[in-house]
Amino acid sequence: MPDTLVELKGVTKEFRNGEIVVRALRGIDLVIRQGDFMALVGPSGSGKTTLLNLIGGLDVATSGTVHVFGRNLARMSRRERALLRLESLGFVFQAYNLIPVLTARENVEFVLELQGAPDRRRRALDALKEVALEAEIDRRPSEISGGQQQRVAVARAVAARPKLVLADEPTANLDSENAEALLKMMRTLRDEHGMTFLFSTHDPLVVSWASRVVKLRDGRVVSDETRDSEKEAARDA
Amino acid sequence: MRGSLTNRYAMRSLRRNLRRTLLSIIGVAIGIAVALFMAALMRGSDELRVRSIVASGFGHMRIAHAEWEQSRDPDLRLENWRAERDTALALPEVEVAAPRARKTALLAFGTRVVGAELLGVDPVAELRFNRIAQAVDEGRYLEAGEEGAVVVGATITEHLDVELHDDLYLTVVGRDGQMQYAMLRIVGIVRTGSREMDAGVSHVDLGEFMRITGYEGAGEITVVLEDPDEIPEVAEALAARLPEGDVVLPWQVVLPTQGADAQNDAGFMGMIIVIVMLVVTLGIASARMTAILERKREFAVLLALGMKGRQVVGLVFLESVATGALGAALGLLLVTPLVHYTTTEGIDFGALMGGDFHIEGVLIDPVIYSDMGLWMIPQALGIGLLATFLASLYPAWLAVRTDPRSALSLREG
Repeated sequence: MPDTLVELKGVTKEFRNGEIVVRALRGIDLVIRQGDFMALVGPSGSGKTTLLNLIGGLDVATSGTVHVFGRNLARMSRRERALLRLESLGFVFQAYNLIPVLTARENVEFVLELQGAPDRRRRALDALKEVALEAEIDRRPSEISGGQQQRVAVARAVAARPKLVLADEPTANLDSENAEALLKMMRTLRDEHGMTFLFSTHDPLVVSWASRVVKLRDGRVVSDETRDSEKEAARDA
Repeated sequence: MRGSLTNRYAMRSLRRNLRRTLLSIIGVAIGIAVALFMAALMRGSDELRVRSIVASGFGHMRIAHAEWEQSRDPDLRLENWRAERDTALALPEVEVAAPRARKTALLAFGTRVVGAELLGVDPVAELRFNRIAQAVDEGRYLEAGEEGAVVVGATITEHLDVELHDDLYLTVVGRDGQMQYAMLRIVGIVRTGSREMDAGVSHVDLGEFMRITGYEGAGEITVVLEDPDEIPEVAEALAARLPEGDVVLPWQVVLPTQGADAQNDAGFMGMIIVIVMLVVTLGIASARMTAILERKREFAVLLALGMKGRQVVGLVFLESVATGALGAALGLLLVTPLVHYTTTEGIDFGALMGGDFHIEGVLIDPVIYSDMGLWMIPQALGIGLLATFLASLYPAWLAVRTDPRSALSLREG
């Protein structure tokens, strides 16, 4: 399908710790399409973060295939996967993970600089405006709240307009007000720029905002529910 | 690493733990200060050695018969010594070319006799560079073409119990194997400060030497340059212009003990500098490694975001370069007054040398002066950057090997 961004077929992932083998994923089949605002849910140990790692090219599957933007990650070198992440993927981490010695603007601009993108300063400012942080651009992470830090992290992830944003428990450290605001901003970014978001989450709020919810249990997909557009529209209203 | 933001990131990272960074910079600075001081002293000592060798009459190099290096026979002669002297003087780098001849002789006064090495010299050339010729304490030095005159060391006059203007009886084996005799008037008495050196001084004009001994020509030509750094180039150029059978020998060959000493000194100093820098490097490596381990999660995030390995290495090295450069600057600031003091005042090793200031016929100045110059800047930077570069290799490798997966939630979900 032309709008397929990610396709996983029969993906398994095993971790070895001496003699003990932990099967984190047991035959995952999954397709992520452009525009999905998708939540990966499931109890601890169900394989959510492992799945994000595989899709983000941070790890490789034990068996099965992971195609991202049509490219088989197993056939890509570490360097090629790094380039793919830099150019086409955005990451939002649970613990924000901003660079503490850089200001909000510099944190966003730094990733653009790594890409060698032109007009970096303006693009960083635009991204910060989109998350309503134009007043805090010269503050360092330690000088702003957790909610604001996560918005900077979102701005960093979307500044280069990646096709896919992977967010690991993005609201885990936020109160419900900040979490809601953050989700609304990400939905707006999806709608305005056609980005695709994939969240791993425990947060019911994130689930309620998702257009698609995939449940994992014991390393398997147990349900894949797509919300209808009317429901989404009603939430937006 | 490109871009000013990367530079800013590196600089601010250094300020994160200012105390540790300052300690690293001070460590580099102290190491560089010690290394520079020793290098300055070594350079000064080397310069002094060469100056002493030149001033003791050996020059920077010597034109000699090809067999001389093996046999050390003073009776070997340069066939075309005048032409060879003129050839040397024609080179712009050459300041003095002094022809000489040597012969073992006996000097007698009444019933007293001493052995000495009679040295035939060009008095005008000798006075331009030879400290012995310049150290005439009583009377005067020889004049060009002077006959029947000798300049002797004070120790010889003491042994023979003679004074200025006394006549000495010289006995020497001539070229024909027969004993040759001459009466020579003492026109000057030399006091170098070393009794042993003074015991070996007996200079006559080269023409007089030829007349007495029957040996024609000079046995060697001592060559003095304006700039001692040009010894290899001038030696090569001069050798190419000499007739077959004659060679150019640098001072290290003429005085092998001095040459070996110079090499040993350089090796010893080099070893000390390497040890000092090794200790400094290990200290910095430890501090850099701690800094990298503290930022492991940060590097994981950077790698997860797509930062390339070489960019991570560049970032780590950029921080190290800054530490090294600042350490070099501080090291220069620390050591400059000390080097300046030892350059102007010197360090007097007179007491250690026990009043004997000559080695292998070379008068050694007991006061060593450091060599202060612009060379210190590149040397300081070179040492600082090399030490911090080496100290960063392992930390940089650690940073690159960080697992980017740890940027995501550590808890498996």
